[in-house]
Formats: sequence, structure tokens, C-alpha cells
Amino acid sequence: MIQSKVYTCPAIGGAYEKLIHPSGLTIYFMKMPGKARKAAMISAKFGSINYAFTAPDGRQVTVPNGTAHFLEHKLFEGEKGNAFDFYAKTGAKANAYTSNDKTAYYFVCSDFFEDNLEVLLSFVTHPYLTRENVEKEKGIIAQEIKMYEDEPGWQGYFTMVQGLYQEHPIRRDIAGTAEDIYSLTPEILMDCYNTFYHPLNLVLAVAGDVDRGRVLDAVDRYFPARRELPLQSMPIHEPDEAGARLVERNMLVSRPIFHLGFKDNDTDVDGFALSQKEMEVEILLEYLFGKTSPFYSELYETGVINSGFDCWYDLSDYFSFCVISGESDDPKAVERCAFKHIKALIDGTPDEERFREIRNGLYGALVMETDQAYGMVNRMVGNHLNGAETFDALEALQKISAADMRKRAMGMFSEERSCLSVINPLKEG
Amino acid sequence: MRFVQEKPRRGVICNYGVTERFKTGYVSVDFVMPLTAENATGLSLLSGVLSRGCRRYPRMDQISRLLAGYYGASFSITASKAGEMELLSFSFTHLDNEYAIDGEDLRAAMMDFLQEILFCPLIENEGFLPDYVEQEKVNLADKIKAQFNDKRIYAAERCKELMCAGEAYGIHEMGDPETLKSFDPQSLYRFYARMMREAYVVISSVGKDGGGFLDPLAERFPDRPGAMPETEIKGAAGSAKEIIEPMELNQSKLNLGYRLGQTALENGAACRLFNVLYGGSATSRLFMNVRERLSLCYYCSSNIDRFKNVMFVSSGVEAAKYEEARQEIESQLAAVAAGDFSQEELDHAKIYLIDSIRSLSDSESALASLMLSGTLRGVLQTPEQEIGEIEAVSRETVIAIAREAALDTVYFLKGVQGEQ
Repeated sequence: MIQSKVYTCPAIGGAYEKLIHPSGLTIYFMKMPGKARKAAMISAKFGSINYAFTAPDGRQVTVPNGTAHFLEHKLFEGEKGNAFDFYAKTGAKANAYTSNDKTAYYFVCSDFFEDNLEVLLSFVTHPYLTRENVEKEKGIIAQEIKMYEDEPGWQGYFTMVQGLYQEHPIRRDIAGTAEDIYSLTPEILMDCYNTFYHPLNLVLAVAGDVDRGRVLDAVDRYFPARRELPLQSMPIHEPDEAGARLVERNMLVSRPIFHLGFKDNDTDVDGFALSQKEMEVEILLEYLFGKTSPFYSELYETGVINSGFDCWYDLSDYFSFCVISGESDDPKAVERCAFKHIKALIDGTPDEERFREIRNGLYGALVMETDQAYGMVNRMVGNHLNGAETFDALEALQKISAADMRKRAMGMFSEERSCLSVINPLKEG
Repeated sequence: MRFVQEKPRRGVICNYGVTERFKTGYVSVDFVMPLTAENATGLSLLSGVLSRGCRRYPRMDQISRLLAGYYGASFSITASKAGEMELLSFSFTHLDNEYAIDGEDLRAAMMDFLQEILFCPLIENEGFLPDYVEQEKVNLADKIKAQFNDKRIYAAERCKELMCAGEAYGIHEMGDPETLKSFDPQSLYRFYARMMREAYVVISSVGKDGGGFLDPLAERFPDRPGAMPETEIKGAAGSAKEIIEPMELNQSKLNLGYRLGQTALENGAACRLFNVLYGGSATSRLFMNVRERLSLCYYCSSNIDRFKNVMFVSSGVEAAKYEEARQEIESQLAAVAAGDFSQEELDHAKIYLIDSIRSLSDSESALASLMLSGTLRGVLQTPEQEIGEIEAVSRETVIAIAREAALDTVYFLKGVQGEQ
């Protein structure tokens, strides 16, 4: 029996359905009548942080960094050819990505949706790993790793993450080093596949003007029966304070690039409370550091930061941290100014009018996203893996008060739980 | 979906993309000038200065707050180049009135705001505010320098610059630091006044409205004195030039610049199809061979500029694999030129391109930029019309385009180990 629940958002006249297939697979389905674009994404709750686990046969397995990402590349390979050979026949734009906590495969198309869904499901459920095709991939991924080694934005971010966290497996490199990936074998990859690509550990999301019955038929064919899954709990121990307050590196950049991270170790939040927390933090970041903030005006008008400035929230089932990032000749001044404004909010009373404007703005952006097939599948998958429901955010936004935002600031920001990373210019650009 | 074009003034064009698909409305105003160092630098600097404020909203945070209050309406001013034209684009997206909680007329409010920004800038002593100009000059200089941070973009731009040295196309869309120094608050204001008087204007809207509502805006611009700027198209010089520059990097960047021929110029649809088949998709010749078969790279792709009739190939490779990668890139082009591809491959390329074009109708900004580039090219085509042309492309035309493609410049940014 299929279990199903419909989530609606009356304000936008939108709805999506969440189903639990008999195999254990979770499915999200959002009908978008009249839209040309259609999208599907299937994601395993398996990322770079899952480096040690118990295989289905009971063995304890530890894998090198970069394994989840390598497996992502290899699941595009099948006995009868590469997934791209099949997508070529339909014109779909297909891709995949691996993050700290998940691996996601997706396509976006306007025609031949059902054929594309077949390709997606068939490749993800039928790994085809040989010595030759694993060897062949190593050269490609080695170049991907080298590309990231030369990207100061990524290096600055990752350096910050490694400074912020002391023991957490988020410190592990997603792609690994060349040495890590050259040690991989089909056997190691299959251990991961058999453990993590289980229907209970997968989620499929579909959005667009698509026939629901046919989606479920396809799922029936590729996920025939229920199997038991030995539950993989991954205990994570992470001290409260940051590992380092300042980390620096030198690279070929024109001006210093900074990332200032604030971690919060309160990751035991689920459901509506999680959506509410996420929205509180989003509003908070915009309130403190967004373009309408005194912080931004002060630093922009004095030339300390430029329009390349950004701030965002990284949230998962396993971690939660905020980042502010940009280019500056004086990153420490940015840090001082950030803490000055955080303190002013905590010690004072929030500006209610600006709070409401930001809340409206966020609401409008979420409403606009409900028109985007890819944006919705990505959001539904991400929220599910974090333990939240996508439309809860719209409801939560209407409940959050300026006082909630201020209270969140007290929990989110502290000097002891922050880390500043700076990529300094190696020589004159 | 239908496109409606009106020309209320000489050199002022209004485009309407009429569709019921969206919960939002979109409007853009583009000023089009010939690509020169002064125009590229001046329009880029203006994008920064005008974003800072206008008479009614003199500070940036006031503008951001206004937009946030309109349910997160977005507004941006950006400078970019298209062939040998430089564009300054003002665009906004707003939620449709029916979703506004308090029944506000969001479109009217945004049209009003747009006109404040365009026509009522902050002026003192016949110039823009000196503080804003000084700060935005520093910001733009930073941005020009910061391109160096992304080596993939840096190498691609360097290849373009080397290939088209002496042509307008070699000028960067953000302009250059030297020209930037020459602008002061007064000269920038005179430049702005000239843009408002002389630049070609293309106004585009995508949404439920079929026509007329852009007229009050369009009528504020007088007739334009000149014609639409043109892009000069050149053939390749006799033999390709090869430029190798070392840099302390882990990965080397290989870029090849090609000049396309007459067939590509006259057959836009075939030219796009050729690009998809050769290097513009994950099922292209370059992806399947340079990456998948030979494992030489993570990315290897081609892109074309139809205004300038040129193609660029870019890839990230091991320094020692330069010759092998270059040879494979060239031999894949030779294979297409020799007709060494199946009918199936061509059909797949068509399906791929048609799928992309169909998806455009879900994005307002994509539809607006389709109308804009059509207007600049003098052929306004809806997605459906473009699809019809792509379906009709023959194999012979694709072969002819590949055969006429002439390698002009090879740029290799060679990764070398540091001395430390």
C-alpha cells in the first residue's frame, strides 16, 4: 500500500504530494499545469561525511575521501552505455552533484519526460562498475580535483569549514585528493552502493506537467520489493567551540577573499521547528548583513567590501552554520563590524519595519520559486533529507516575529563558535 | 506565447512577450551603444553609480528596502556586451498584483520606480555625487582585477583579447582601468546624458499584458540620431597563432578561438546545431571524446557568439597533455567537417536544442533576452519559430559550417609549480 499525504499552500494555490512507496522509497510529486519544463531528482542520503559504516553483511568499512563523489560519476555508466547516450535521444539536460551529506542525480526537460525518468531510475538502480571503467574515471576526476584546487572561492570556503569544525566529518574533502581516488576499486564503491542506495535511504522528487500514474508505474518497475535496511546511525561528536578563530592561506588572487563562519551545534531540530529555524536564520542574515543593513552600508560606503559580498545559511541534518563572504583588504574589520551589529541586535530592540520588509521579500522569493520545476525538486529533496517539509517554510514565515529573530541571533552567533578564513594574494595580480 | 513589437520612436523599440504562465511580471530597458573602451567603461561605471540611488531614494538601503517591501521584487542594472555592442540593462521582476496581500498595484509601483532611477539621478554641480563616483570607480577597478581569481574565465577572456586585439571585440565588457581613471563626476554625467539622448533603446516586457503599457515610458525618449551599432566580422589570418603563458597553477587551461564562415553567418539555426553537436552539450563530440574516451579533462566545451561569428573551445588539462588535448579538439572538428557523424547524432543535437528552446518559455528573463537578441539581430523569433528553423537544418549545412571554421588563436595558460 502506498501512503500519501498532500501538502497545500492556499496563499499560492499550490500543492504537492508526499508518498511512501511499498519499497520504502519516498516520493514527492508536484503537478505544475501548463509549464513546459519538467524535472526529476533522486537523491541518496550519502555524502562525503559517510566515510565509516557497517556494510549490509556486517563488515565495518572505512572508505577514502572522495568515494561518494566518485560513485556519483560511475552511476552514469551502464552495461549498454553511458547515461548521456540515452539522454541524448531525448534532449534532457542531466547532471548530478555530491555534497557533504547527499548525492543527487537529476534531469530537466520539456519533452520525453517518461523516457528520461526511465533513464534516471534505471542508472541509479543498476550500478555497472568494472576495473576498466573505474580506472578511466580517475583521470577525469583528477582534473576536477585540480580545477577546485585553483579556485580561491571554494578553497576559502573549505578552509573556513575546516577551521570551524574540530572533529566533525564535514572537515573531509568532498572530492578527495588524487591519491585518495587512485586507491578506489569497484569493490569499495559497491560496498557504498549496497549500504546507501537503498530505497529507505533514497528520495525521488518530480515536478512539472507530468502524469502521476506513470511516475508511480516507473517506480514500481525499478523498486520492486521491500528490503530491510540495517539502520545507519552516525554518531557525530563536535566540541562547541571552533577549532580555530583565524585560518589563512595564500593563492593567486587580486584581493584578499574572506569567509566568516558561525556554527551552531543545535542540530537536533526536525519538522516544522526546523523550517521555522531555517526561516528565522534567513531573515536574521538578511537583517544583519543584507543589502538593507547598516552593516552593509557602512562597509560598502567605506570601500571595505564591494558588491561581491554574500551571506548564506548551510543547513543539513548533520550541521548548521552561517557564512558571510566577500573581498576585502581588511577582513578583520569586517569581522569586528559583524560582531558589533550582532551585539547591537541582541542588546537592543529590532527595527520592526525592516524586519517585516525582509520577511515579505523572502516570502515573495519562495512564492516565485514554486513556479520553477528544478528549484522545487531540489528544495523538496533537500528538505526531506534534513527532516523538514517545503511548504512549512511559507507557513512559518507568517508566524515569525522580530522577537523570534532576535532570540535566534543569541543562539546562532558567538565569537567562540566562529572562524575567519582569509585567502591572501600570493603576489601582485 | 506571442511576441509583439512596436516602434514608437526612431531607435526606440518596445517588445511584449505575451504569456499567462507566470506569477510574476518582468520589464527591462536596454541602452545599446557601440563597443568602445569609453562606452564599455562608462556604462559599467554607470551601472554602479545609478544603483547607488536617485533623487527620491538617495541611498542604496532605501532602494533595497523598497524592493523588499514589494514582496521581494528584484531590480538590477548591469552592463554587458553582445558582439561589438555594449549594453546597459535595467530590469525588474515583481509579483503579480493578484498575489499582493494588501492589494497593492505592484507593476505600477515598479514602473514608477524604474523611471525615477532612469530620469531623476542624484546630481550636484552638473555631475553625479563625487563620493558615489569615487567608490564605484574603486569597485569597478576591483571587479576588473578580480576576473583573475577564476582562471577558467581569465583564460577564456585572455584568448578573446589576444585573438581580437585591434578589433572592438577585444575590448572587455567591463572596460579597462586606464579609461576608468579618466571619468570624473561631471564627465560621467555628460556620458549619461549622451546615452539617454543617443543610445538605441530596447524595452521588453514579459507577462500577461499585450501592449500599450510601455508607451508612456517609451515616449519619454526622443528619436535616436544614429543607426543600431554593427559588429564587424573578420576572417581568420593565414595560420593560427599560438600563445603560451605560464602561471603557478595546478591545472592548465587550453582555449582555442575560431572564426566561422559565411554559412554560419547566414544560417543561425544550423550554427547553433553545429555547436551542440561539436562541443556544446554533454553528448557532444568534445565531451564524449576528450573527456569520456581519453580522460584528458573534466570539462571541454565550445560556445559560439553569433554576433561576431566566432567560436571558442575551452578545457582544463594537465600541462603535459597540451598537445594530445589540442590534437583531439582539432581532429573532432575535422571529423564533423568531413561529414563523419551519423544522422542519429544530428537528430539528437536537434532534439537537445529544441528541448532547451521549449524550456525558455518558463523563464521571463530568458524570453526577454530572446526578444532582445532578436531585436539586435533584426529578426524577432518566438521559441516556436526558432524550433521550426532548427528542424529544417540539413546535414550539408552543418558540414559546411564545420569546414569553414578556421582556427585563429590557441591560448594555453600553462600551470607550473611554484618556486617556494
